[in-house]
Amino acid sequence: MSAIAYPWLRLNDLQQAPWRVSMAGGALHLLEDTIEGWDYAMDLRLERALTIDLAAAAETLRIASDDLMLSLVVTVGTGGARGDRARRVMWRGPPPADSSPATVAFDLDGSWLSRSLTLTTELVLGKQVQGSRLSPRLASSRLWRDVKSVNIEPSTTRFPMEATSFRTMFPDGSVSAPWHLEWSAADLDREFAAAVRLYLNRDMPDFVSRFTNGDPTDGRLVMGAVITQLCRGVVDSDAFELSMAQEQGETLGGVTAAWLQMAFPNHALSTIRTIAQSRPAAFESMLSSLAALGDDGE
Amino acid sequence: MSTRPLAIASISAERFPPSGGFAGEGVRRLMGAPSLTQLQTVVRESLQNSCDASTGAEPVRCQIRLRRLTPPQVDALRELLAELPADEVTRPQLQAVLGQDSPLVMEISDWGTSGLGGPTRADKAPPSGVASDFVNFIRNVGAARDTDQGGGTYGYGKTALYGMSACGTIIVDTLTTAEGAEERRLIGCHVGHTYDSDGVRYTGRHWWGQAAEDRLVEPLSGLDGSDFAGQLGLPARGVGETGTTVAILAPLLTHEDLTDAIGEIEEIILWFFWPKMVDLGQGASMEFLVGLGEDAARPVARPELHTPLDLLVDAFRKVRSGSGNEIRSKNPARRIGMFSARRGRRLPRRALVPPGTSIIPHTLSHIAVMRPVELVVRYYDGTPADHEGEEWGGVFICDSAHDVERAFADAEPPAHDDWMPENLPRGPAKTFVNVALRELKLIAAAGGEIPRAAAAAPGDVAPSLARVAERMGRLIPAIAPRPDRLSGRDVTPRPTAGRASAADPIFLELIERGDDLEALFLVELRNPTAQTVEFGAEAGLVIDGVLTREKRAPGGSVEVVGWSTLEGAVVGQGAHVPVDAGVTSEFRLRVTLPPGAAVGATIFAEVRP
Repeated sequence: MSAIAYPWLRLNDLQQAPWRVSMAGGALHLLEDTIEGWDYAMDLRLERALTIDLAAAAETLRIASDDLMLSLVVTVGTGGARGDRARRVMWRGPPPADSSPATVAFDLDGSWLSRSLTLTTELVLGKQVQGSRLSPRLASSRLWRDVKSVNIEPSTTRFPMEATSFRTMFPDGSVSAPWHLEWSAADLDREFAAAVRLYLNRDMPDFVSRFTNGDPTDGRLVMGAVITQLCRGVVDSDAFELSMAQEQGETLGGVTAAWLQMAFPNHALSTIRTIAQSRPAAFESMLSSLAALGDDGE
Repeated sequence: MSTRPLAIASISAERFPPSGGFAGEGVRRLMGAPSLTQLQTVVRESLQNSCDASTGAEPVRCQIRLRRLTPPQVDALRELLAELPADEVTRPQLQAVLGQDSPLVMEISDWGTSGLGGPTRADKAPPSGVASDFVNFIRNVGAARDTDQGGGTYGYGKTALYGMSACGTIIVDTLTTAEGAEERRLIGCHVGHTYDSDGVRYTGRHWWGQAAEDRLVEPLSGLDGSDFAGQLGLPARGVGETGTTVAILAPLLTHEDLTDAIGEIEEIILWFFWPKMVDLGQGASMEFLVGLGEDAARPVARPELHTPLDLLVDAFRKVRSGSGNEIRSKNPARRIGMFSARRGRRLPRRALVPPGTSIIPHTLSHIAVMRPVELVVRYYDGTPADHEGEEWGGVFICDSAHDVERAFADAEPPAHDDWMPENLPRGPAKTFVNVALRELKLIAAAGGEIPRAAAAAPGDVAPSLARVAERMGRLIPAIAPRPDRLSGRDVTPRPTAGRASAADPIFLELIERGDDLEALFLVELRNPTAQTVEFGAEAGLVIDGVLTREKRAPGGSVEVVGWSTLEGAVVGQGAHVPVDAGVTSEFRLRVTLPPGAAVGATIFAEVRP
């Protein structure tokens, strides 16, 4: 139902299947109000089917069947919290003449998208026509409209990371390293997401592929090493305190303090420092075991 | 609040030391000639200081207020500034301000910051591990806050505060931590002109506060400080609410109308500090409020909702996600920073200042550049979009690698409003800044498009890291939701139960009335109150899918004809219809349609007197 009164007859109910989406070439599934796990590198494929009974439409619009030409138009809007910032017509064409289901399908370039998607499906008059006084006459007169809004903004915290070529990024050093952690113990007070960045070596595509596809072994190894490196780096800093976990939770100091408290519950910082120095293997294995917290289903 | 007289206030005038020192006139000129207005410089410098002073325990909250002092507050001010400088130039300026019935002050306050701690005298060394924030802000000139990758307090920026005052005077009120305990400190500061008196040469710098043993006054502290801050109407600070308020006496504003002036301040905050307001999953790192008078200040608009900043926010998010375009130097082979641009339809603006005075461009075609601290250094103008209905905005953030970040920081002038590679010696640092500026100017000239040679090769598509980044993100301990600390912000949805309301109208059908057309809408009206409520309908043209208040169209106009029950009984002619107490029912609303036009309607309820 519409809150708008158009000065011509319109179509009320079309037989429409819901939108389906596939991400990065995966299987199609029902498009919900939010697309989880999207980022700019992920292209989307969208698809839906609509059935338009042309004879019934002509009767409703009071236009002779032979004169009625319809066009199905899908417009995609994206960005902007106060209305779409960018819009593109992604599909336009006449519905099948035999009134069989029309399948609308198109790909969206992930780098073009931001914040949200507005999928507007419209049925418009394909050419000027003469009918009754209330019939639509002008080409492009809107006869039916359906709007689906989808949020694509991440709703969960993401670990700051990116994939880049180490040959160009770190030509003087870690060219053959699968990953590199950029951070400084001087940044204890900085927001964690801004103070830390995990680089994956795109010159090692097999590793990047396994890691990004969720290989559990690679994932635990990398994240265990990341946690260990960060904790070992901050634990000797004079400015570091375990209370930062409660007092500065969002910062590098706060996050590493929380990891240390999880790995060594009820231990004083001095005790943890002693463990790090005298029992390095125990120190590292306790911390790296935290990486399992990132596994699916835990 | 105590109103005991302040019998201890005193003034100290700075003498030139035998070895020489800074003249007051020189202090005011230390900022050079920034490209910014005085107000922009003051707002930027002050809020950058707040950013650098963050305790990290909570988001920094900044508030800027314009208010006129009440008679008791003027009395308190006259008490603090009882003794005036002997400087013949600025003394009359101070007298003129103190002679006003209700002088204007501009207050810049922050919370979630450390306050101005450390020693109160510049000749006293701070204890190990204690920053000399108080003396660096109040006494010294050119001493920077030691914040790695901070916004860049050169120590000169504060001099803009004095230039903003018609009498070169500010009041500084801070709650800080000293020797493990909280301490309130309040002091008046003045930068005037060099003068001679009794054979002694003075710099023109003065302070008002507690008389000390020698000629230098100390800040009012403890109860004296907090009582006096209260008497001046400065923001109250409870236990743990550390931070600083700077009150600029008689601020020199462009707009005479204070509503316009506070609108200008809100625009400055939005234009230069929007990255600090973006929530990337852990909440915004800074919160800003502006206000007039002593009433609760209002939060500054969210940049995502303030066009055209939403385009810049989208570009910023893309850079921060690691999906932007790299800007690189070849020799040395380094990544200098990341860039992204977003393009979109030009959307209407929300006006905060009178027409023609906004700093926010009518059509965006700009690149915002910043260091990882995410304070906008400046914008580079570019070529507007080909289509006049479109606009674009780009964001460049220099790399966080220490040597790269340092290069850009060192290229900034005292006002931090530009990157000037000519300030750097030959070497990699100069190369980093030069290459970045060259590339950004090319991109700006190309309307925000990356030149083909610099763009990623076809097929060189970065892998999606969203899923693995989310999985790894689970390792970052959850942050407890922050309590809403913004004064005056209403976060509780207003209860609608018990109030008269209406559902949105639903279009039913078209009706032919002779040569005219009418639209019939279905409307549910709800009156749960104990009295009759009159509902009204306002109809308008629908243009580009949006209901407007426009009524006239070629060949006719939109009018509400009347109301009827579902059975067809007329219950109201024209736009209004009464609904009895306790009644909820559906009605039909008739609206005329001009030829070829689409129309809609909104419903409102009015309680009958």
